[in-house]
Amino acid sequence: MSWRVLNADEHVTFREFLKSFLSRIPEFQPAGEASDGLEAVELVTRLKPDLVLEGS
Amino acid sequence: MPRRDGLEAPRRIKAHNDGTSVILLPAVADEAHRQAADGSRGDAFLPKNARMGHALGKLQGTECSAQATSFLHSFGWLGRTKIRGRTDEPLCDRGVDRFFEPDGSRVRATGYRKGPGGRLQTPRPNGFAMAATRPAFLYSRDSPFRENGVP
Repeated sequence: MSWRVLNADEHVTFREFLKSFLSRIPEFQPAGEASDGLEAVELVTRLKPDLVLEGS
Repeated sequence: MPRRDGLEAPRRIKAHNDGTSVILLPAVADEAHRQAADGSRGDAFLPKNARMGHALGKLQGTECSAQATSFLHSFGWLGRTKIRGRTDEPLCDRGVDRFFEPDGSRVRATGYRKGPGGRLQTPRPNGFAMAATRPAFLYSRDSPFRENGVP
């Protein structure tokens, strides 16, 4: 099973870190990235990911 | 987050699409943040600088989605190093098959065996002994939060 992951964090370095990490796990596919909560909500509405990693 | 409270976003996300799991990754994990996170609709609470036990503690108290559970387990089995009898911070990023050498380079370990308590261990030719005890990614050398002063 593959799950689509939306990565939402204001720190680009942390987003890059998570993206790099997730790229090693076949069952997780990147769905998109958001730099803040508002963008995350917008992307969830549009992309309907399975999982959101929400930095705060 | 500057444009939207990081704890407000999960509520809105769940309102738009309840099938989406949300894992909160706060930079600060004090009691106030923990209580606030409990009040949000996040599926799990995983402080950026915390050990996985924090997240599992949350999971034990709530029904966590399969996605969130799988994600958390995927970060699992981060080992700890023991150097001259002293247990130090983990030096690997994920899994018993990924290690960091002292110079930061990565090597792939082989020859796993069960150690005390059934934990996976592997003897290292450089004297490092590794046990897969602590699942967390936050001690990775890649983590930017060391640079930001977060322990």
